[in-house]
Amino acid sequence: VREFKDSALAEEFRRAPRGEHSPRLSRLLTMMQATPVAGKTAWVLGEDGAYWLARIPTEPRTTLALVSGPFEDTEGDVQAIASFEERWQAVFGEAAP
Amino acid sequence: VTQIRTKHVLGYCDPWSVVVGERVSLHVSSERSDEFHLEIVRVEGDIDDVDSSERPIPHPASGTYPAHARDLPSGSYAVISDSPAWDLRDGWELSLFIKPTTPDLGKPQAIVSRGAGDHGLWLGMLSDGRIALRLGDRVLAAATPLRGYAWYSVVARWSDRHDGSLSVRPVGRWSERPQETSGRSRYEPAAGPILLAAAIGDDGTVGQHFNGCLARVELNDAGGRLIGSWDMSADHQSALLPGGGSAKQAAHLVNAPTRSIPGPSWDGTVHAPSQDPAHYDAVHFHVDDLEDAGWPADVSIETDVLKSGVYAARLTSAGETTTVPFFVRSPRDRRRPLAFLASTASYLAYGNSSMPTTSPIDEISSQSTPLLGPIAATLAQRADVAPSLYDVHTDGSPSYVVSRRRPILNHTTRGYRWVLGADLDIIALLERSNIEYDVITDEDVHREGADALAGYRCVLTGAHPEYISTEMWDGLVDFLGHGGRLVYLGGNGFYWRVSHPADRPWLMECRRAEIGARYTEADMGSYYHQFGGQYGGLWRNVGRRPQELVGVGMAGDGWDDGAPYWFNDEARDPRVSFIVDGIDLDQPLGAHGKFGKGGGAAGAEIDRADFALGTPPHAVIVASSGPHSASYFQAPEETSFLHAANSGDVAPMLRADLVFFETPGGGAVVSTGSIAWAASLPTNHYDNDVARLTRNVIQRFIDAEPFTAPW
Repeated sequence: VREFKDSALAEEFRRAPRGEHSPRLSRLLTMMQATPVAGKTAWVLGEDGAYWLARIPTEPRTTLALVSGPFEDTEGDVQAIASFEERWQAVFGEAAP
Repeated sequence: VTQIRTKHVLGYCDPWSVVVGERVSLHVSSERSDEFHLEIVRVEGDIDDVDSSERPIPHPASGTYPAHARDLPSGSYAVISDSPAWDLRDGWELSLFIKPTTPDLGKPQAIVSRGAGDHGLWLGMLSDGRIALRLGDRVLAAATPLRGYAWYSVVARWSDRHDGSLSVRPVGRWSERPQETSGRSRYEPAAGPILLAAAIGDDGTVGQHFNGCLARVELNDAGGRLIGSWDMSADHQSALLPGGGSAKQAAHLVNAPTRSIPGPSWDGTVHAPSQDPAHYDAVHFHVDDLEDAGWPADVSIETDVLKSGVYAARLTSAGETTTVPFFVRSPRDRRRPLAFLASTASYLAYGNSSMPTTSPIDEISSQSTPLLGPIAATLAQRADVAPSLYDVHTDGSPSYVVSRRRPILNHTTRGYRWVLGADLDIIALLERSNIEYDVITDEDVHREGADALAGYRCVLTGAHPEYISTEMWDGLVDFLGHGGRLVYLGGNGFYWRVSHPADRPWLMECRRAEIGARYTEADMGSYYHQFGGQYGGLWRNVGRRPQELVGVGMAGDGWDDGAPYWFNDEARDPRVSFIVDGIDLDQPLGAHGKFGKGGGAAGAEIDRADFALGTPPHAVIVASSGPHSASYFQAPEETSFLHAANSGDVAPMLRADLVFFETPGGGAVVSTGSIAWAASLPTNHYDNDVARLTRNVIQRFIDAEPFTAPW
């Protein structure tokens, strides 16, 4: 996956988070999706009525931890980019360029 | 920063299915209020229209009740009643085999205990994974942690000279060095039962549950005479382990630990407990096993004022609403011509699944970051609700046994278009079409066989009748053999064998042997069910192929969008004219729906006909689906080798077939072969080609006029 640690791919995603992506970005996204769940993020609904990204614990069926939010919904570009950047950090061990 | 929204009002009904006049007991926990409000609602519509689909019924049970916050007593163990035989003041020797599966759980796990708290006997795992013997206030601990999933022979001794010792020897060659430890111990026997895989705490509750397997537990006195032993190789269906030795005290298994698993002597020469029970003399305990929540009944719901249908106890407490479904059947002498067969085995199999937070498959399938609503967020964080058949236990071992005597958060009439939530599209079609129907359940057919189906002209399945017991299969065959008509309105059906113990019908077992589309698989050597001893896995692999019963069988799955069906030339056969009446055969069928983003009546999991696999030779393949996307893949059992043409955009075998055939005695079968079929019923307020075709079939199938096979 290291060959995909390419700032151009991060830029492409930020430019257009939805819809068709280049073959290389599509491959990176699929690889990001396929990594083990533990430590990744998921959307949750807060008691405040907003959506938040929460980290899935390493030990199954233990506490989820909020990591960013609030968001009005999960559908916007800002939300997609927030989720993408979390995945980038998890896969490459550093912040997305 | 806020809190994550989770569920605080939980409940379960027992049983799930009753005949009009019988009672359903309702068990509730509410964490944020000291009262809950109950309404009995009849569920008549789909999940998108809760306000009109849940119709409150005037019912004497409706009202406000005191609420309590209740715990779930999960964790399996064995309890052996107190006896003077256990006191053994002259000394004793305790020997057993253990296979810890989470030795480093981070908290103590008891393996054998007697006496509460720091008194008496305790053999177990310390927080750091070392095994230890505690006698009174003295702890004799091994030097190094044990390995996970490795068998060890353990011997603990105590003599009346106050000497204690602990010996741990690995089973098998080339493993680690044996460990021995000993020391003086001032031990006084403590009264009370012996527990295996748990201990009683100072507060009197059972805790310190153990993840792992135990075998050949024996207690000898100082003279080497066998005082107690518990036979884990006998009668795997039972919750009792026969007691041996002079005491002959049986052990009672609590919370349904896993049996019919290889013991320390298993060498692969046998694969079934019946072949050599000595190879299957172990029990696997889990900290998250749960057979029965055991909550007191808060309400006893009368059903004599109800007619057959899908109902729910609608609970409201502290501003939160939870629906707990139950099913009401008609008495034998008042059955309508049509019955909807609720797939309760599937509902139970999926119960409390936490797939989005345990498997990447959910994200890969949806190609988006998972969204955890309050139910999923609760399931992601609570192990005590016990895993589904789609999960592994907290020690990573597969989940084989599930129970309906616990709150099942995703068994709901709201917000989840899967299993029951998907079947409500079918219920809504019947209601909106003014078609009278009864509801029966898988569990009824399992228990009563053909009697549960007798009197019905037509039985409709749900969208995903995936789990079928031998008794259910036999009942359906009997029904079809006597003129019954079956409409299989789903996909990936009649797929896995399940079993229920006769004396504990709330339990269900499934072992995914060999192959199949599965999120978890049975461990090697564990392919036979503990309940009944049958070989587990795909029906296709145990001599009963779904194609023989319903004309189609699992082809594959995908999760982005479905596809329409296209009518084959055979659709113009007069034998099937009743099916396609009023439908344009030159147009795609079901190019719409609520599955995925773009709909498509053939989607999610789809089934195809195959004459070589048992589709009756006179079957008419009315329509076939396609093209499917590259995100669809053939089921593993459909291909002996993976290659670039296994995906839906290119694999010709990856399709749903809509099939019709007649059966002896005037019966017939129609199968749609798609989970997404039901999700296409609601389009245009249930006025569309899929809904019309479904109604056509039902109207003909409830007509007494017999079908005539073409032979």
